[in-house]
Amino acid sequence: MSSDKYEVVMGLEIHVELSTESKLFCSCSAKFGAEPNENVCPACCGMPGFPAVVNKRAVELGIAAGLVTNCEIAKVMTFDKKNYFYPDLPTGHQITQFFAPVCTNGYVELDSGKHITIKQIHIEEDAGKLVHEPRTRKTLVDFNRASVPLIEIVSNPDFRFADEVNEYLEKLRLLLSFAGISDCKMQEGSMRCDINISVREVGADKLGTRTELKNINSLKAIGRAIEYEAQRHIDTLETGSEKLVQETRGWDDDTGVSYSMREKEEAADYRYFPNPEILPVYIDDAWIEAVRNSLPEPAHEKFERMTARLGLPEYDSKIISGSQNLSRIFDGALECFDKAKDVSNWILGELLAVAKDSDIADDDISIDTAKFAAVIRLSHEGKINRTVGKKVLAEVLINDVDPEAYIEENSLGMVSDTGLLESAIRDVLSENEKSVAEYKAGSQKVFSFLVGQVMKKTAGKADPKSVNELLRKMLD
Amino acid sequence: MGLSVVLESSIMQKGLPATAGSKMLENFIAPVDATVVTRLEAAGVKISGRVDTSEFGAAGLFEDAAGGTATQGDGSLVFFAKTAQENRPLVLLCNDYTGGVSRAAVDAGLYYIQPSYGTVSRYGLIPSVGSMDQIGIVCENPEDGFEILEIISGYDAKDGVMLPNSSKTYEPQEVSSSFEIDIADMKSDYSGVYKQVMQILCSAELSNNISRYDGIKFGYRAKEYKDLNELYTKSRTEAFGEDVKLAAVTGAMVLYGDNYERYYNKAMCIRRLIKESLEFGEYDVIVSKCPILSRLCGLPSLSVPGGRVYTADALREDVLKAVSKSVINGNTSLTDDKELGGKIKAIRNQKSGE
Ligand SMILES: [Zn+2]
Repeated sequence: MSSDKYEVVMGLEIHVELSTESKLFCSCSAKFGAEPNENVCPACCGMPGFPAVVNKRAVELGIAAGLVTNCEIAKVMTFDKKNYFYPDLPTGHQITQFFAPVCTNGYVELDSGKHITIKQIHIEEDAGKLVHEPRTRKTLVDFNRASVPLIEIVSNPDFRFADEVNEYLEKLRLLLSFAGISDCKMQEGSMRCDINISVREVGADKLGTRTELKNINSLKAIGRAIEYEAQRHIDTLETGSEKLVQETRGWDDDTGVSYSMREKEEAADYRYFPNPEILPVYIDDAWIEAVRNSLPEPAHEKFERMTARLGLPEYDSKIISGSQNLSRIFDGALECFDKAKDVSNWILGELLAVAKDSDIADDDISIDTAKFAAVIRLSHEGKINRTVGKKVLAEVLINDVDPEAYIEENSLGMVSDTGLLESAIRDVLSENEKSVAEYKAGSQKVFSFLVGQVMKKTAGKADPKSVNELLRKMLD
Repeated sequence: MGLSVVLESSIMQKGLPATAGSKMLENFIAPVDATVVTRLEAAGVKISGRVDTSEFGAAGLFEDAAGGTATQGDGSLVFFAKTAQENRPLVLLCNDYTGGVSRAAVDAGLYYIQPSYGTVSRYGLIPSVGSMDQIGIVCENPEDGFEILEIISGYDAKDGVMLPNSSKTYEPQEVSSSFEIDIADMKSDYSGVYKQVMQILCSAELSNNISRYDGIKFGYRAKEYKDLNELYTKSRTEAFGEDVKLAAVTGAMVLYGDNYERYYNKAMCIRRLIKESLEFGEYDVIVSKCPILSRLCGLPSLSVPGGRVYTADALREDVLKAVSKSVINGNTSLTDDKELGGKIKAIRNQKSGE
């Protein structure tokens, strides 16, 4: 893609599913991952006779999206109808915002200080999903996603490099997931990205012919798709053999090639008109302020707080502040146990490891933060050692046990009773005469082996520091 | 209450077919009771039957909607003429957005009450033209009609366009002979324009609302088709009648590309101008022979035998109730056609006119 002669110009249209409990115009659940057509009602599968009633929460999340991206919030917003036929669209039209969207004129600032300006953010309903069954050669429709609220964030053509696109997406993901607007999971389709791309000679005012890339579902794929498509534009301009066509193109990440979706383009006149069945929504300053006050601390401010005020390392702070879920756990635990460094170490060390062992993704960790804090405190106070702590933590995470009761019941409290430890060490030394001889002959390596044996004998409950001291004393 | 009510087939009763007069919905069984049904049943009103309308109520749309009488169409448009006097229901509920039913009703010697837009819930009403859809009342005796109106009207959270303050009781003010007819300054006779505006807006909205009938999920599906496009076109071609097809094509045309500005948006602007020009001031009702004025402006109206239509300000059903009493009492100034001469007039309330 690197070429001194040409400049790539890109704009992004990002669809983000809003984290509402229910759909945009009915009370069906909007949760991901249900059985096909489990979350449907007559209204969202297109039956007549069910007037749309706007989900107020969706409007609030739309306003919140505008606030975190420095947008102007509309005083009056309307819903409009976009007409097209497709089997996954139950009513034959999509309810969206065309004439008066909820937010306009915002921006996201990149690290370089450059502003990516946002033309508008509008609220709309998602469509269902077609499932093709090769065996029976039938196509089935799943309306679970039909009418789930989305926002579309439309940027101006401010991007010049793929890196900027990636940074913008990552920043948006943080802003939106932190504010609880969306979980922004590209793999699950709750964040989708279309890229408008064109190429022009450096210094030219006019934009070149633009194509729109669709179906890109990972950050990695975005970089590849941009590179491929920009090069395709440049090659076409250079050879002049064929003309660039303004069209929608799909991206096949397996073959690394974009392909024309022109067929769909031909009939595209959406006959937009204002939806007469939904009254305009008036947004007053009081409502905007209420939404603003309900927003949690944004990621970058949290990072500042963690590094500057709490004195945590940048690396740790970045990981925790970069995840809404880990931030929530951090803040929750910190409320019960105010040693920030311990809390952060336990999150990045034990908690993530324990979650990984159980195949729980970072964002899906759900733990009682008070109990988590109790485990950290018990370890800090020397009541349990770290190994036991990790074991207890796993129990808290999976079975929500009470840590103190669990330690009591399973007698996991740290053993620093010298008598008990000495007897355990004596046993170990007599069972491992060969290693003892090696140690005496000067091998330091076997020392840690012997410590391990003592820990094993005490079922991991021994205080490692005492074991160390006693073992040295008894060997020397 | 001894009243019994008949419902147009666009109003859902759970478990019964709700066809809206269309072959497209011949096997469509209503999944719920419409709010009006729930309210009637709660009030002990008997629902004695269902009657097919013209398909999606579109029959009156492309006739001379401005002043003429309905002469064509199926279902309820001729229902009254054909049904013998003694077999007629006392009250019929229907969605008469074109004004066609009300004209047929008054021709048959009945009254028609159009409530203010947003006062009767449309939950469970098969939609045709969202900006005008409104369940109205055909009745032999206006007193019965207003009694039913009190039962079915009032806020319903399931309909997003309900007026929050819609009143439920209509106490007629003192009127009887205290009205006098006065030619209001209505500038000109809009009726020709009304008709075109109606046709543009109604076909746009109807074409959109019936796009849900695609043969995929419910409703009629063609027996044979080779691909998706043919499934759509054959199902819709075979199941929709002429009026609805005309509306679908006209509607798609007026929204397409630049036509949006040329037709649809212009019609919207004219509708707004008409609304804004209707300042009731010291007048209580506008008298005309044009039922669509109230449809376009969302205002309540009363059509009486002989063809006169009294349109009142929003939420002023009480005025209409008073007018109906005057008409029944033989107040000639309210019924004399010579006074009207095809023009729109307004009735001044003497008390406020002083
Ligand atoms: Zn639903």
